[in-house]
Amino acid sequence: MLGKSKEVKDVAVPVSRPRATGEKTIITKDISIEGKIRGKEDLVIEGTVKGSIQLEGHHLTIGPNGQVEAEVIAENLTISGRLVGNIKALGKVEITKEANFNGEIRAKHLSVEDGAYLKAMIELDPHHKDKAEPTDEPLKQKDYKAKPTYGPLKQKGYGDEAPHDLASVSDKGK
Amino acid sequence: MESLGEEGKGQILDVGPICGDNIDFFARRVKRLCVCDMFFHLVKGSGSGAPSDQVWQHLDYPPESFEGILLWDLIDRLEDHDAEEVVKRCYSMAKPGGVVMILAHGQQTSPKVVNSFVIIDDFRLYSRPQLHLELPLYMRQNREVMEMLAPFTPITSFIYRNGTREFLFRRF
Repeated sequence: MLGKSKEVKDVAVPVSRPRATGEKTIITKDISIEGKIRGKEDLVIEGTVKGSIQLEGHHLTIGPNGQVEAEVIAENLTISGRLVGNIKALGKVEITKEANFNGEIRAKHLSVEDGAYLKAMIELDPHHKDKAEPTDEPLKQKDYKAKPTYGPLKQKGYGDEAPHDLASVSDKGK
Repeated sequence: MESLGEEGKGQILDVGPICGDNIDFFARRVKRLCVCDMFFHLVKGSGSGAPSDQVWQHLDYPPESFEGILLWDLIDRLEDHDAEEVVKRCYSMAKPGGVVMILAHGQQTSPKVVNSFVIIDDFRLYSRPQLHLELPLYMRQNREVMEMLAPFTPITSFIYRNGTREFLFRRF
């Protein structure tokens, strides 16, 4: 998926009309569309779209310049721009830290980078449980590694106990 | 999770900061997770100089909507009148029987950069700096937190060995 996004970036040139590459259509930043979009290939939006978007079985990418107000149905979505509306994804929704989203999300999987703005109502498929991907930048920085809340305990020499799980900790306080 | 309602049912509100791990954790355990990043609005509001009461308009959910409300690190980032406004809105948004969960850092917290609490591996609680969020810290004593949440009934409170404090309140 990331490879595909990179491919789009490589071929994108400033033209003022939607372009179809071999695999996907790109709505570039000078294009505005109002109405209903239905398609059977991947779509990248860097422009402005109002209405509805239906891409069953395909991937919708809203790039950093994309401004979308729409009801969206797609297999997978990547949001890096602004989206106001409701999403129904049969697969995964990825929201990057540049994204600004306001609406409802119904999906099997959701990954959200720290720093994204969300005002959302989220419903995930409870039967599709996957491990959260490490997506946030601060984790990668040497000086700001995520640390367990029990880290200071070990530094102070209180022992080498493993971190407690949330439930057992809460139970202790009852 | 037991205090936040029966698993697979109910509706929870997380007021931020946005954290993918927490969203994944809670969204798979409740029917609906609502997320409204108030930290983002507070930082934006402090930059623009807009009155703080405008910030709280983003918490515009109908009364008695939620079984659980997560106020993690937020109270200690607010002046008294803003904290009171949040409590008032939480009381309105919580269903009767619904709970508010507060997590607050201990004394060693960075005074400016927001450190979010992050659930990793489904059961470990970590602290992660959110470098894009800088807000002043108003460290409150446990007693002050309890007083501030007076409209609610305290259920449990617990201090982790590193100083992190957890409070659970219920609306009756």
